[in-house]
Amino acid sequence: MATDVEVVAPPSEPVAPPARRSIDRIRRFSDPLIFGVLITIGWQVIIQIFDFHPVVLPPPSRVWTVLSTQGDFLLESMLDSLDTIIRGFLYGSLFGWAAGVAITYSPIVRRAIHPILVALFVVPKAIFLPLLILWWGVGGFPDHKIVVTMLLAFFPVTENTIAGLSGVDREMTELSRSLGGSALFMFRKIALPFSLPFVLAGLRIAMTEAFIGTLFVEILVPNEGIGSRIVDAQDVSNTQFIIAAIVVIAAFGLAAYFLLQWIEKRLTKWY
Amino acid sequence: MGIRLDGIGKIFETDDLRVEALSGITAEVQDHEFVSIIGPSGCGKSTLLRLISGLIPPTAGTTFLDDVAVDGPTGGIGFVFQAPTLLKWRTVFKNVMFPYEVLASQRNATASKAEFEERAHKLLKMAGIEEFTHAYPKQLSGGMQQRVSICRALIHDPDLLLMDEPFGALDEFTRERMNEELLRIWRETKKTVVFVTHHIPEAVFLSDRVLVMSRRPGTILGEVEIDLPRPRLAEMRESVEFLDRVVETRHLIGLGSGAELLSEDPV
Amino acid sequence: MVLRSDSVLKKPSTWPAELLRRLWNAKELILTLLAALIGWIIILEIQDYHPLVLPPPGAVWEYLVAEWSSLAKETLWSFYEMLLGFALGGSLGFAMAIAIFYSPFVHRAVYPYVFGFRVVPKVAFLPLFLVWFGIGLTVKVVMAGTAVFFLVLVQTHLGLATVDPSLVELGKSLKMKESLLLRQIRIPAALPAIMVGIKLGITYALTNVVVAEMVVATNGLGFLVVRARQQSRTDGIIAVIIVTAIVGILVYQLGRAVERRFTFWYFEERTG
Repeated sequence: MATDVEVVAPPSEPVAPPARRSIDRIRRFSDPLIFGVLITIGWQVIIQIFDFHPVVLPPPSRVWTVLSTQGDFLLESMLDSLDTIIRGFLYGSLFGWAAGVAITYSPIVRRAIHPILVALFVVPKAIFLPLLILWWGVGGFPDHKIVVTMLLAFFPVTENTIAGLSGVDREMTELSRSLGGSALFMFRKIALPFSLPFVLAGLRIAMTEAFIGTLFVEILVPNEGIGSRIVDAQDVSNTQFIIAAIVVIAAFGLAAYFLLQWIEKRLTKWY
Repeated sequence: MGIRLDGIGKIFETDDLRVEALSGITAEVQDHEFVSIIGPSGCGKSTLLRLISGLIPPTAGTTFLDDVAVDGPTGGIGFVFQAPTLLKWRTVFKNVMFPYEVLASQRNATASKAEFEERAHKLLKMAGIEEFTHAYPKQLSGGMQQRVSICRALIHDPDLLLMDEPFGALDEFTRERMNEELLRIWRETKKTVVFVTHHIPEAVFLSDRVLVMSRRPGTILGEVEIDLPRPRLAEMRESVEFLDRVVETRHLIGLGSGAELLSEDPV
Repeated sequence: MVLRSDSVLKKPSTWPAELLRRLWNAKELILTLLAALIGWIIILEIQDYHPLVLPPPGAVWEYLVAEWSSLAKETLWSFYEMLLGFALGGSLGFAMAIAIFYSPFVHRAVYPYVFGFRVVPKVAFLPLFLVWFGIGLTVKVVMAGTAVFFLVLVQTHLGLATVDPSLVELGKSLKMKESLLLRQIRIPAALPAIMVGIKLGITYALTNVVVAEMVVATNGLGFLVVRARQQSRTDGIIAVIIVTAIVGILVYQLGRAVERRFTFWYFEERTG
């Protein structure tokens, strides 16, 4: 079955065209800003022209009001979600990494488990939710939110760990073996450090997936967290809150992504 | 270290394919000799090296190192590959010290760290890259990385050095210079060397003997005795004797049936 | 791996032998699945769970048989929604990627936002989309489309940006017009990356469709699982999960097949 699911770290995307002149460097910031301002103005204009009911498309000013007055509340809800996200991310990544190691080094485990893991990845995990809640309830142990988040986060880590560990130069292992090095030694001193960049890239993807997992559980089974607050807002058609919440989520998502990217760069400086 | 190959054969088999890589290889390498193996791509040169070192077992025949049958990877062998294969996350020094760590990790370890460190510094100096001792591989050129690779292969003072097209990725000028450097290192350390290449002038310049291999399944077609004086100097590359040996090797491989071609009328 | 015939032997194989060989290679997987099934039965023997908590495999099978027409219909619905969303999101993402590629201004101005929104789980948009589009077909198509849009955009852009420059130079040296260059060289060279986006996009589209269906609960697989839960039919829940799993796997295999069809040359190179 499929063993080449491409969740493996893509090369870094060019977020902006290469800056050939110094004016380009400035434009890297000014252009998105200008675009953002244009969109906001356009947003306002469209509302005026089509006379949208503020429930359907609230004006930017209202969204801004929500952000400033309910900032603490939004932040608190986001932190609630982050608690689940980070835990699901950590447990899922650990499990994913261990699975990756087992799959790389044991052909039996690989043939038995890997297809199941791939299947788990391509199946819409939301469908498990009613069953999980039935078995373990809401807020019990294991927390269904964390389980789902783990289910989403583990796979990129597994795939990238496999890619990293199997990518070791054959000659390096031969060199070690010819000197009598044990398999454990080769794992610790060669495979593990070699796979580090891959694993870190996988973690970056896993973090994004963890966000997705936690949020969709919160939306499907509202309880705590910013996703549930969005559902509350939807119930009373508080559209500006929804948009504000989305902005908050985007901000945190980006922050997490950049944090992990920074860590990755620091740890793999000389690679 | 003397090598004796006795009727070596190697067959690789997978679910749907059966490849005979080597067949009936019988040859000898004397202690302290520098022997090159030359042959077309895919003729099994790399496989042969791995067989000599005991990394893979032969399907037929036996390898003898100093008259002892080879039964698995033995220590006392240094390896240099075509790609420098350095550990990117370690400094040059730590890369050269890598064999020490491998040896020290085993239960009957007798390696002395101080001894190895001293040898590491000496080797780096001998190879002319002392100033890069604490640099990372990323900061070195291909030729310099290859020198680190050679130092690493020598640090545990092996009796046998196996080199698999180590200068294949370098340009001609660097290659010639590296050849001279290698001979200098060899003169100072007096190892037995088996050197695989498919660059004929390089093989002739470096070796005492050149063994010529056939296409797959690889077997020894013949050998060329290189009786040029040592130490080999750069100028020798232009001598008549040198070129004679090159031609002799070329004919053995099956290249340069120039006589027939030249006699063709260009009309 | 074509070589001299007297040193390389390709062992002959007939198709029944091939099939048996593949089954033999999958023996661990088959054993694992069987073990899970047996474990299921054993747990029931030991613990005697109420069928509401854990129904026996037989009950699930009966549900599948009894409800197969409803299952099939809703599966087709989910599939349909996913395809529409995929077509919509995919084409928009593709077009946008080309715009970004050709206009440095668009690239600088828009891409940071794309990047920012890509990190946001598209599920977070669901309540917003519900307000905007109501609970009909549209909202599910849009949900699927959003997921695919970002993925295809990023992958297409990546593919175009990493085309081997020598290929482009070849085209320019032949004085190709940019439109022709795009069609004949850039896009084909970018296909492997684009196909990855499509393969993953299809899977994400299905996920988002199912989530939307679970919230809106009018049709589709998501609706089925919610309905089974409301009816306290645990055997139904498990049955729908199994069907969804199979659909998910099939969809992914479909994506892979499409990928292979368009990039067969790339695969040759990679595994050779």
